[in-house]
This record gives sequence, structure tokens and C-alpha cells, in this order.
Amino acid sequence: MDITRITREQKIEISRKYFLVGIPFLPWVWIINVCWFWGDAWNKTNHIPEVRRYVIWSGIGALLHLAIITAWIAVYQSERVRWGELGDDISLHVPYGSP
Amino acid sequence: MILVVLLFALAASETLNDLIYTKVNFGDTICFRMNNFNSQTGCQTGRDGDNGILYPVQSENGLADDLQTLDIPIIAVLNASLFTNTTINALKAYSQTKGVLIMEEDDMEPQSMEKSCPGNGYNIGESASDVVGRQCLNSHKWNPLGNWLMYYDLPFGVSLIKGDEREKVTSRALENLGSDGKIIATRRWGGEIKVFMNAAQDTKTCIRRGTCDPISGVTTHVFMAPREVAGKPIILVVTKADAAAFFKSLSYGGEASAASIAVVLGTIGALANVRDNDAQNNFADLECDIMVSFLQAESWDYSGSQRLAYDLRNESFGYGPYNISLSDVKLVIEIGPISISNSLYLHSYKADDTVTQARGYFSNTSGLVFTPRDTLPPSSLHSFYREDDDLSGLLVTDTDSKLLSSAYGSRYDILDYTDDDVDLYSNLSGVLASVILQIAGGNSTSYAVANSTLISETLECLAVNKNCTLLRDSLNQDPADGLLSRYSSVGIRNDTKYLILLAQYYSKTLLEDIPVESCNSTTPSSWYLYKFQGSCYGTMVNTTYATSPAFVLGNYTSDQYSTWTESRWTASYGIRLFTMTDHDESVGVFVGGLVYFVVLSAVIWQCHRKREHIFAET
Repeated sequence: MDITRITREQKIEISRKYFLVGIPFLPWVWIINVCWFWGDAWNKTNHIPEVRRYVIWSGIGALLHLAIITAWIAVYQSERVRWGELGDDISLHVPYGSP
Repeated sequence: MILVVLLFALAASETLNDLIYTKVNFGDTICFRMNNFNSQTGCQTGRDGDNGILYPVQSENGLADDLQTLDIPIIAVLNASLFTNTTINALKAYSQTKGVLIMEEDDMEPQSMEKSCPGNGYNIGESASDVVGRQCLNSHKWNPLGNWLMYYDLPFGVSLIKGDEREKVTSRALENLGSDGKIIATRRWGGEIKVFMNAAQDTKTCIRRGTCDPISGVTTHVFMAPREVAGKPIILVVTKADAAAFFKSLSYGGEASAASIAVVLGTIGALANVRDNDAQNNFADLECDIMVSFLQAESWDYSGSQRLAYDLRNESFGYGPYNISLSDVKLVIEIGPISISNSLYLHSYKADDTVTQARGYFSNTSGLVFTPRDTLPPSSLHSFYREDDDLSGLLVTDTDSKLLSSAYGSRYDILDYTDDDVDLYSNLSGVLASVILQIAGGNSTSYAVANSTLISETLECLAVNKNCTLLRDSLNQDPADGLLSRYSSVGIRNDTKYLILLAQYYSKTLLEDIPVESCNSTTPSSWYLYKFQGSCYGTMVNTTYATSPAFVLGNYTSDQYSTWTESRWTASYGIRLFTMTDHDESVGVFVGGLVYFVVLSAVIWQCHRKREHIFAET
């Protein structure tokens, strides 16, 4: 889809839908929303306020997800061995030959 | 056509593999990983193997300093005499040690790789969780020469190279040294060792992941006669059946247990002689039944004796009259190491009336001296006392205040015996038979003599070559040549099967009233019937698992029972040698190639642009 050819109302609708779709732990959808509609959100002469709102919320949500995932990965990597059976149960692949 | 090309490529690749790599044959002498309730021991490599420059270790002195000057991955190559704590600690401290290849030496001072206090944490009054590092809970070191190497956790593979393969490895390793004794910079020989172990961390983790199995095997039990009356007291004679070493396939245990097994078998033979020929000693009328047990997995914190004592205490040992409880056991007599000195000691944790009576029956006989002691060296008796400290127990051994063997728990523990030693073992078997008989309420008798020829043949099987007369007769086939390794492992091994056969051979009684055609399990008899050399014999030999009670209880973090497990690993393991280029040289070749590619691409592009001028018709 070429977003340069769609109407203003269509842009608002798409941006809104991408924001909603990204809510159930889909930060990549929010990141796409930010990248696609960055110009429409911050264009000095022709910005769309509604799109700007969705882009801001998508950006905040993506950063929050990134922070949570990064924190979880750090905790998992450092604590998985100490968790013992729980660590194995929540792991998709349990390593052979190492703790 | 395509198939032909593919087949050719496959054949060529095999040849290319042979050109690049030199395989080293080392049989099955690898160090593998074992776990217990709070640690892991043994060796481990990466899943696809670890490789490094072959580094010849000349001396343990200064090795740590020499390694500090290196910054390359190494496979250490050293003579067996250099496999010491100092060397291993230095190699462990160097983070780029990828493996150790030990060159066997033919004449070497034996060393003990066991703990300096065997059974540490599992002797009476001890708890394994109180053990810290390599500190002995009981400050007395029964095995002062023990260097604990068998219990090190090594982050690299270790293997033993023997025979002509040693030259293959050492010649290449020495080529890596320059005239200054340092590793040369380029064109060096490298090695790869691959021994990947699935288990890690501790027993609880590896059992949960299904990457290890409990040390087990089976304990062999012999009843001298069918047990008719439940609750009748028992004289229990025990001895250790297994052995251990750093390389488990070389667990010979000559002085540790081979001689004592032969003596106990001789005792069984002497008792069988009394049973079958002495009308004055009717075994059915004795006050006590006599049971002999060859305990498996004892080298691993007394696993076999713990299981037997546990089963007896919980009355889960057998069925009917054989459902024996610990309270039925009048006396436990253990035969420990007895092969080095003919001055024997009668140790006991506490000298009650039964023990005093038993000691009284031992008399200084031809070539043997018996001395009582109120101490208890590392032995299976500790397991029985831990279940019931009111038990009566007696340990017969040549250990006074320390183990006499300098090779306890190593591949150097090979029994060296003479005809005089065979006579001494026969004497001891006869004395033991007489003592047991008298404690059981029988009469001293001249029939309590052991067959020294049979004991000599048994020692040949246990300590010289398992392809021996006695086993060939019993198996009706030839076992493979070589020393008998008795590592208990996780299943039923051939050495246990041989022991069962030997126990049957010694304890059997001829049943003349049963025709050989009817000699099978369907014929009603108190005895287990088996055909041997055209006659029907009866025997009371059976087996129970030697798996530690910790695994029966599902308590893999137990500090009261042995929790040793053996890692599972793939059959794909090996060692190979190859030349390694210097890293800088490799980078130089790569960068040079890249530059060459870029320049050539530019030239070709320019030629393409000017093709009309270059290939213009004249």
C-alpha cells in the first residue's frame, strides 16, 4: 500500500487501527505505525493531529515494551539457573551439558 | 551421471578428511561427568568438540607462570606422572585450556586419585552437607595419599593415550616447540577432543532433565542353604564388589576389593564343603542362617550397602522367609582390603558381646595375625550402623590406622600376588568359614577348608585376565582378553554376571535325586536349580538393585544417602590431530584474497567497458 496516495481520513483510520492492534503485546506494529506516519504526524505545514496522537502513544508503548522485554531477558538470563525446576519449565529449550 | 559425480565427491571427501585429520585411537579411556546432590565432577567439552594447539607440558613447576605468557587455546600433552594436582590446577586456571591428553607411562609410581578420607560425609555420625570442598569431616585421613583428582570438576576433556598412539601425539606436540622451548608462531599442530556430556550442575537437575542415570548395578546375595524359617537370625557377610578409578573403564581395584572377593568366595566354598560333607553341622539346625552379599556401587559413597541396609530396615528385601529385617541380623562381618599385609585387624564401632565372641573365635593361624581395634575405617559397615547403631559389626582388614594401598581408587590398583599369597587367602577363607559357623551355632570342623586351587583360578579371573578357565567353563564361551574392570555403572555389567557365576560355582550343592532332565525352575525345590557339566545343582544366589535409597525415596538432594549419577553422552566422541595456521597468517590470507578480488573485479569491469577497443578488428 502506498500511503502517499490515501486520503487524510484513511490515514487516521489506519493509524488508529495499528495502534489498537499493537496493544496485545505487538510492539512491532506500534513501531511500524511510528515509522509510517512520522511525516504525517510532524509535518510542519500539513500534520494530522489525530495521527500525531496515535504515533505518540505507539512510540511510548513501543519503548515501554522494549524496556519490559529487556528487563525480563536480563532477569531470565541471570536467574534461570537459580530458579531450578521453574527455570526449566518456562524454557523452550533446556541446555544440555551446562546448568 | 549426476550419481557418479556425487559418489566421486563423497569418496574424495573421505580421502580429504583423512588427509586433514589424524585420528587418535584411545579406546574408551575417557573421563566422563558424574553428579551428586550438590556438585558435578569429571570432564566436559563443547558439543562439537574443543580444539587447541598441542602444548607439551614438561614440568609442573612453573607451568602456571608459563601459561600466563600464552594467549592461545591449548590441548595439554603430558606424561602420566605429571597428572598431579599442581598441573591440573594450573591448567584449570588458564582459561584457554581445551583438553588434556595423558600419555601412559609403563613404569610409574602408583598414585591414589581417591579422597584422602573415603566415604567422607557418609560415615557414621556424618552428614554430606557438612562437607566443604576437599576437607575431611573426620580429621583422620584413612587414605593420606589420596589426591582427590577423581572428584575434580574439569571444564575440558581428558583422555589417556596408550601404546603406539602416544608417539603419534607426543611427536607432533614436540614439533610445536621452538629451540627456545616456547611455542612456535606458525604452522603448529593442533588437536580436537570431543566428549560432550549431557548432564550438568547436580543430580536433582540432571534427573529432572533426563540427562543422567543413578549409579546402580546389582548386589549379589548368596544363602548357604534355603531359608525355611522367617525371623531366624542371620549372619551377614559382606564385601565390596566394585572398584573405581579416574578413567572408569580401568577400575581394576586389585588391592581394594579383588582379593577380598576371592577370600569371600573361598569362604563360601569352605562353608559349602561343611554343609555338604559334615554330618555334625546340619545347616538347617544352625541357630543362624548365613547370607553373603557382594555389594555393588560401594565406591560411590557406599550406595550398595546403604540400599541393602535400607531394604532390611524397611523389610523390603525379599519375600516369605527371605523378607529379612535388620533386627534379624545377629552380626555383620565385612571383609575389607586384605591383600597387602598378613597382619589383619578386627575393627568394630562398638565391641558388644557378639563382637567379642566373634573376635574370640579368630585365632592367630599359620601366616595370619588378628588384632582387635575399636576404630572403624571407611567401610560398608558405616551404612549398617547409620540405619541401626545397635547393630553388631566386625570389619576384617589389613588396614590399621591407614589404608596400605598407595593406589587406592586408581588404575594402578592391580593385584600382584604369589602362590604364598594364595595360601594365605585360602587360610583366611577357612578361618572365616570356621568363625562364621561357630557364631551361627555350629561346631568347629576340619571340613571348613577352602580350595586353594579354586581360589588361585578365581584370582586369575579377577586380577589377571577375565578370559580365564573358571569363566570359560561357566559361560561356555570365551570372555574378551584383558583385566576385569569393575566400575559399577548404571546397569548390569559383565563383571557382575561373572560374579554371579562365580558365586553359583562356589555355593552350589549337587542334587543327585533330581535327574538332569528335570533340572529346571518348574521342578519344586527350595533350591534354584541349574545344570552344570551334566549334573543338577542347587544354589541360592540372587540379586537386588544397588541403587541408592535416595532414588527410591525420590530425594535427589539427600545428604544422608549416596546421590551419585552418571551423565548420558552421545556415542560420538573422539580425538583428532591437524595442522593449525597462525591467526594473523589466516587474516592476512583472507584480506589479501579480498584485495585481490576487488582489484581483479575492477580490472574485469574496465576490460568490459573497453571491450570494443580491446577486441577491435584490425
